[in-house]
Amino acid sequence: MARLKLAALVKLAAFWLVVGLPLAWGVTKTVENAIKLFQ
Amino acid sequence: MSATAPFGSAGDASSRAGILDRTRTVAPRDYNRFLVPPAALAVHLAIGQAYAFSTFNLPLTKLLGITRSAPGDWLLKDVVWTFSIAILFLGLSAALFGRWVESAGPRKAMAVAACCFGGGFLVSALGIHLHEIDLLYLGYGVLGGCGLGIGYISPVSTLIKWFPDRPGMATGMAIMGFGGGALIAAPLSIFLMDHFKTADGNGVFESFVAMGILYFLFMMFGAAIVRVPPADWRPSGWTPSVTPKKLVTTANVHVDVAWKTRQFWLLWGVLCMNVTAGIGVLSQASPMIQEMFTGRVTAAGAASFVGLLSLFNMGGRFVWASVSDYLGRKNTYFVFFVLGIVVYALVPSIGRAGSTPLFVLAFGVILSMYGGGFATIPAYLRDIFGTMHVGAIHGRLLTAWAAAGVLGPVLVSYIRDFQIHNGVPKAQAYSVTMYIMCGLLLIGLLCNSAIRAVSPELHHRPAEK
Repeated sequence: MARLKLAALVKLAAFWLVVGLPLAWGVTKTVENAIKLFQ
Repeated sequence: MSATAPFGSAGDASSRAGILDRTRTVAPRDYNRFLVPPAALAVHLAIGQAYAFSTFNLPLTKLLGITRSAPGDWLLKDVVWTFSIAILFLGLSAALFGRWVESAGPRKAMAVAACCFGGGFLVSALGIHLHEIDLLYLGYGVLGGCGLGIGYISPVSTLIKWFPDRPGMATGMAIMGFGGGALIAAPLSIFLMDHFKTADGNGVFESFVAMGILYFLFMMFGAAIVRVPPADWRPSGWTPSVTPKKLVTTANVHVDVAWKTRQFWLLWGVLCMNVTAGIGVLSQASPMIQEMFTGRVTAAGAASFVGLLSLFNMGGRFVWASVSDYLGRKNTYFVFFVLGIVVYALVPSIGRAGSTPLFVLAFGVILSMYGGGFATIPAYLRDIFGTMHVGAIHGRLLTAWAAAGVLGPVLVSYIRDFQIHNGVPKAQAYSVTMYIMCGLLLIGLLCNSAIRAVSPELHHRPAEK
């Protein structure tokens, strides 16, 4: 049961990472450029 | 079939159905619904690339000259048509294929969208290789535009069914991806063009091929993991409110009936006015800040301003749509229109005062409400017309976006040119535009105020087809 719950959690984290990482990269790049250029 | 079966459980029928069939996507009752939004985000983050298409505009005019435009190179005025065609086909395909998306289910729709969007890049790459601009229009514009439209509406009704307790938050999460897609695509396009450029080519052809494959795979990931809830599924511990709300129906309205109602066209006006006001500014943001703050904001600073606006646009989609679950959809749009009128009316004064941070903040608020308008409309439609055909109705309503996409930029640029032609200094040429935007928002406010519940006579009865 505990193993099943862990597997479900890993699946949830993996799905969100696949979409979250590219988005986080894009947001970071945008913020970096904004800070650099407004300085 | 077990609860952990890869394609859900739907009995014997599903075992004979194709892998993309709706029956193969039905989830078990104990399925974690938070596994579904990443599927929607995968599709929306991919198709959101459209907002960053302009990063290819200049490189596409230097395919022969490589470092600068050479005789025979495509002209910028011809290249920019690609984006307009794509947005036109977004609206058309969402309206035409909405019913099919509802019946085929989200996995098939997402897979078709992936083929169209990824395939659109590849056809365009061929057009770049052969230097045939018609193939660019056909690829990214027509085929890619159909991928945009089908992909945009494909996860909406699925998410609303998974999150009946928070429909605004759920659709906000997906549609936030469309805003966020540009934040990924802009640096990705620049990285790929830098990576692939050689002495013989500027890397646009290879970048189109790479993006076509990457986006196809990313969208297919969404198609693979999407699930629909079983019939009559409800989140555990949640029961629908027993006190009926005036503007939230528990019945359904058929798409063929819905689009003939007064409510549909009032909502069309609400979306069109909200988008026109936002898109007009978005399309002219870079020259506007440079001209209103002459000598203080460079072209590079203006580019970072546009990037910041994209962040507000993305954040507004999630925040405002989530807030609408508490405020109610009508009240949320009331805030968009009233706050929008106040902020637009203040912009000329902010410009005269010369405050760049206040200017950025003002447009950040406006763009957050622009994004919020997109993200809140599916839940508004669900409140008014029910969940049965919400995806198809949403598809038809998106024609308001196509109309606003033409109206907004044309209004802002033509009024600016008219003002400058009549001797108004560039720094003040936007004042009239801002007041016209206030007028458009006032029309939107009136449309929103006139929205009432659909008459029960128009509700769908299960025996009807």
